Amino acid sequence: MSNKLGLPNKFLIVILLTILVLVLPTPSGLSLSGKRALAAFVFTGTIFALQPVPLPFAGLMVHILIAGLGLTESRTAFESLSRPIIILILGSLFLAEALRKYGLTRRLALKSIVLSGGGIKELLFGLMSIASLLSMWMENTATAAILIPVALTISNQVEEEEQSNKILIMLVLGIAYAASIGGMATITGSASNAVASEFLSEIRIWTFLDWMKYGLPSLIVIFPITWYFLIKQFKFTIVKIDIEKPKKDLEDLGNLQKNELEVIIILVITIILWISGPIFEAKLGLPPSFMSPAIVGVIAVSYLALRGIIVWEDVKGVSWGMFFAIAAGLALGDALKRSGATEWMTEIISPIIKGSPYLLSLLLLVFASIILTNIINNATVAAVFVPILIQIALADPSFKSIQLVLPLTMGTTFGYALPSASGRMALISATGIIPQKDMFRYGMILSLISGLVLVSFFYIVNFLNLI
Amino acid sequence: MKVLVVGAGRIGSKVIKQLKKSTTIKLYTVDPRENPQALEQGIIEKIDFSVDLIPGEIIKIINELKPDLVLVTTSWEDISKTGAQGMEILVESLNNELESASEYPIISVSRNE
Repeated sequence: MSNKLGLPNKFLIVILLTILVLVLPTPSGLSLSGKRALAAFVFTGTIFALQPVPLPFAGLMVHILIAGLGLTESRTAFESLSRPIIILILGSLFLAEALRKYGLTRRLALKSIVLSGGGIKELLFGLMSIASLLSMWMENTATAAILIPVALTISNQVEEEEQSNKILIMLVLGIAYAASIGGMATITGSASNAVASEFLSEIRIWTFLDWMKYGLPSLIVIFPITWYFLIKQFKFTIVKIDIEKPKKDLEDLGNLQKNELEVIIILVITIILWISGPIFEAKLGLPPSFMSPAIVGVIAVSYLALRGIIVWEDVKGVSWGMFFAIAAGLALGDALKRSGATEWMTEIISPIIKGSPYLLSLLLLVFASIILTNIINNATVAAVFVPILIQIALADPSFKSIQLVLPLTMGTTFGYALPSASGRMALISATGIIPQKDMFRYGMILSLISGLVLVSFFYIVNFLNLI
Repeated sequence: MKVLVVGAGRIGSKVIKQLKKSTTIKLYTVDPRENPQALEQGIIEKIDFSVDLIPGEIIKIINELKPDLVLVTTSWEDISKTGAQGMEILVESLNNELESASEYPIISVSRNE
């Protein structure tokens, strides 16, 4: 909806809220530029939540505002777009497109359906596994978008309409949740992971493998609980679904073609190098950081392009939203740090974290993260709070930065309740497959369970001195 | 010749306009909206089938109608006004499912055409 100015009303709300922060009295202890940085935070949070323009444009506007408020020079306004993490994300988005181009995601989904033998529990487990596995390396919403139509096809095999609808809702929710959970495992898995990793790498050595050491076990713990939750929520009168159609579809696809195989091989090699690049670097005597994840990703994409397996047409439609949201998040985080706003917020939050037992701090961090991610973009949540938590840890030797940063960042995974929580939930909401109130109800319960499990996981890991 | 056009939005209306140039084509349209672009612009007078643009619903119509050709013109604008992230991929995947489920010839018309 537009107004007399020809601008979307949602954009005017964003601007009004930003101006409101700018004209309010500056809180004591906060500098003027700090207040401007807070206004930039409000702008970023609301423009990503309301999306008066598509996400990539919204992301670019954040850089403009930060420069406009004098929080950076125009020379450095877009600097965050060239960070290694951004190039790594770009590489992973391009690789995901190669996977999509050759229909490998659908092939995997059909294979899992056939392997399930048509059992509903097994079917859900299979589709959720594919969603999680792929979301570790490619964008979560894209994974869900490819798998949801497969769920539609499966549910159509059930003649009784009520049962068919219930199966569809369960499968679609399972795909969306699993795609989010899969994103916990790696740096490339979600925008918040990427932002948090970039800030962590500024204060310590932080590799792809370092993230996986905590992300993968979290995924392994939370995945079966999510599956079990869905199985318990939905009761069916039928036990099996006819899988003749998926079987035929899989047969029609035939054997893997040469190009498809090559894409899989390149993806596997890329993943191996992302995880263990530094080892190969040392053994092969390559220049330091030549095997960094960003360079490995670009090499993989270049190889596929040189072999003609992907062309520019294939990759230009990637999810630019994630790319620009991360860059905007990093720019915002930097602006908050430079202006002293992070320090100011640290002084407010620090006593709460320091004065509480670790278990209580974990509960606060994870549940604050879950609530915030349902409203604002997860990259923004990480951009604002990760630098604060790092500062708290740097000032207090009894804390390690990752003890605080990882639970908060992984908590952003559980944005299940509202369409604004994530691309996956927005997608499901737009298709109208599940009524909003049901999405909210299932999402709230599962967020609560998952949050408690994540808190327990980090508490135990900390108790065992594994972090 | 019986042709079924899936989606009567931005791309669908262009396709319908071209198909109407031939008097030998008997045209049918599917769209869930009350007033899609083709109707709004007066290119057609009515929507023949008002169902959601999802494979299962469309397959039922195809099996009933038995068309010589199905042209799928669905884009994300036909499904959602909000243009949620991943919508284009979803639409492409929905169209792929439709192609594989149909026993009648289906051609997806790209949004650029």
